[in-house]
Amino acid sequence: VNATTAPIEAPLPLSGIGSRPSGWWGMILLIATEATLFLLLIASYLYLRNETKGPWPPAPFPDPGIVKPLGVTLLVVVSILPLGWARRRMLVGASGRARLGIALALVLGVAFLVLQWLLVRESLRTVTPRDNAYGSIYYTIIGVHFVHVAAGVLGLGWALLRTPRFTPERHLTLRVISLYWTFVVVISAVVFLTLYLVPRG
Amino acid sequence: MTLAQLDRLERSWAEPRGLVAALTTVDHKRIGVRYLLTASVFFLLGGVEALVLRLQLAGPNRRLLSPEAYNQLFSMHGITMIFLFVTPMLSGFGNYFVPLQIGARDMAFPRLNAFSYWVFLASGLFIYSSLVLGIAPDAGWFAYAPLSTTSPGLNLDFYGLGLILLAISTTAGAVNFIVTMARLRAPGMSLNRMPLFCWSVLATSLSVVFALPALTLDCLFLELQRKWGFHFFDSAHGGNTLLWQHLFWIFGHPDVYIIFLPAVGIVSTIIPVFSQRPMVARTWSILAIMATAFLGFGVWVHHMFAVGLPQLTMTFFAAASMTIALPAGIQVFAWLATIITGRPVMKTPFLYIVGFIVVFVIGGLSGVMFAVIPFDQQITDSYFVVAHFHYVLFGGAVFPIIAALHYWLPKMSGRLFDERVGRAGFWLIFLGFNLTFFPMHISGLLGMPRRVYTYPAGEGWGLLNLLSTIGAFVLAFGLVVMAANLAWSLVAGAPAGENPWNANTLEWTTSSPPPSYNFPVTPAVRSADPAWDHAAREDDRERLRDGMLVFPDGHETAGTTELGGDLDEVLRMPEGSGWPLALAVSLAVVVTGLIASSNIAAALGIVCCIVALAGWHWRTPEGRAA
Repeated sequence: VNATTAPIEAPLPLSGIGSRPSGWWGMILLIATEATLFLLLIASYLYLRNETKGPWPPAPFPDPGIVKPLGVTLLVVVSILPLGWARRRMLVGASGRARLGIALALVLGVAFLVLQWLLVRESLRTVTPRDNAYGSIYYTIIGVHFVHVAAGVLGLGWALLRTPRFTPERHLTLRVISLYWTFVVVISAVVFLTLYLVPRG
Repeated sequence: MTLAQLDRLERSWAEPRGLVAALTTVDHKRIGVRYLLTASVFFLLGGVEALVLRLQLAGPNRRLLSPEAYNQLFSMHGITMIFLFVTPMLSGFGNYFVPLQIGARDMAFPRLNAFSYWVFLASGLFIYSSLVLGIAPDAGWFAYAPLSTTSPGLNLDFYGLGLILLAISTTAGAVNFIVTMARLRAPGMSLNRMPLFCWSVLATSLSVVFALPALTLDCLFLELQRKWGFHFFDSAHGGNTLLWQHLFWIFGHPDVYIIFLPAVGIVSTIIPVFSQRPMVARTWSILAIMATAFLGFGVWVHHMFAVGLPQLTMTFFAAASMTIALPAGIQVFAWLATIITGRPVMKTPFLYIVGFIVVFVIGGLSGVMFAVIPFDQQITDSYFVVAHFHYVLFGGAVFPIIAALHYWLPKMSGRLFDERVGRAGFWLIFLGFNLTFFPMHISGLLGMPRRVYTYPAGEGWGLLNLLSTIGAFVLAFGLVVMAANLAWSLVAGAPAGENPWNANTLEWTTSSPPPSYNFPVTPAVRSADPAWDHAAREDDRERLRDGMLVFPDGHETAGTTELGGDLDEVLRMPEGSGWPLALAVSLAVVVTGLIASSNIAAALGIVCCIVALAGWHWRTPEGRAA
């Protein structure tokens, strides 16, 4: 209905087909501000590298390696597949399968949190954020990223709790949390590229 | 509309009084008033701090304040005015008037709105508790490293943690404004018909979304370094002190526009009304607002011309800074053309706008001087800078804020202030302001550095400082006269009626004060000056009689398309809730735990946050997904 030309008394379309839900907009803006935070974190990393003479990472830090970080990052990245599948199942009303998809993504997210926790604990035995500025920014990026994955995992758990209320038309929680998890996936890849490829470049 | 319908509308939106209702309300008007009152209290505190500083500086070698007390007071004066007064005050006007100006019944996320206010209050109390304890931040409002990283005590921890808490409030508020304006505009209010004040709040909110993370990150780095021995700003361990400055001004310059642009919106609201004609070059004004917000992100290094950066970098940022003059020029000429081609009505709100133009142009001229690098290097960190940014901030923000108080208070209270006392207050404030800050240009050029707790006799600064101190008290007296007049109007002012200024925007088409549901019938907008569009308002009244677009059952408001403003759905809005307050208190527990070095309290606070978030959303019905 074009309210500027059509009479306003025309029947009201209650479905809302011409606009995005408010919750979707809210999540987009949350992601925008969080993405800026990560952009600035990475800019700070590159700034400190640029201002450092000599090897990067500086002693006593060893080469950060690439295989284990790649493995844990892939756990998060592939979780986008079951979650996307869950959303598509929900749209056709297959809520059992949607629940399975969300649960799979949740398991992958939890696996990342556990493995990353163990990896960080191991590396903290030899080098810490107090050793130098490289350690500070490295562990801070790891930590801020970890918190974002953890928040996403809580969100997935929340979506799983609420699946009984979802219908093909009304499941904004799933849509909004999928949006956030997509952001987490993209950020995981960007963090990996920054922390583990920049020292080789 | 039948009486039964009106009755249902009244009952759906009834705002009960009492303590529980006060703690759980989500009414944007009550929250807006709270923002305005709380920010005014902080203005009073910051103002008293300024008067004490001026007493100390009234003559050479005075001993009213110790150097430590002086450092805390001037830092708190800056922190208060920038973070706890100007932005929340403008949020208050935004909260109250954005929904009214776009014809909505609430903000897009009413509970988030309540949450923003409670977190703002919590962060203000948190930061001010340090002053009560005598350990307030004492490294200036921009807290440069390494001074801020090495200074002992908890002083700077109150700064870092308090500002992180405040950033949560400001960001949540900005997101709420953007979504409100995207989704809740009255049917027919396409984006180009949105009032200019709303446009300025939109531009500001977008700036907040992209600028505040820099401050948050800076404060996170600061706290990690101060409390846990990290090395971001510590050059002995590979860190860099300039990282603080870069991140701070990546936030800090956009923040200048976060402060200034809502004031621009207020000026663009008042000038057409008191010139009794539509805004000249309205579209250009909108573009100027958006361009200023955008360009504000590319000029931060002009705060750092004296730190020794490469010449090429500085030249780039100097050129970028000068381009800001383009949208600013468009804006000022559009205002002047509106005044010249209109029939100006010289009442108090307009008087403050004229004062704003005069003072702000002076501040703008000294601002252009700083874009010239050699001049900047000569004059930076002197009282000339203090004079400049008070002309910009007091002229650019406080004059419009006072204008807005005079302009909008009759809508909020239903009563008019006394015009003669209003004018007297203006002249006292205008003269007091110039007497305070104009001499600072000269004392700065004579070499007086800023942020010194006293100065020796014989430098020729004494008389100028005495004039500034006298001016400060004249200014304070003017502010008291202004505030007393407004307070008096609340109890004894003449009735204002719906539209005492013959204004052009929708808030003036409902009663003064507005009912809790804002509009009995959702207005259908057909122009950029809807209150002057009498045919459309007559159609509204007809719809009201027929009961169309009344939505009497429950908290409901019209949802429209983002760009065209076409009616799209009826949105069911949440009602009062205690969870926003619970979440705000939980966040306050986290920062209090952190400052007390109690990890258990902080962890407990985080658990409470998660519980509060779950409680908040558990009963919310599932929204549409497509």
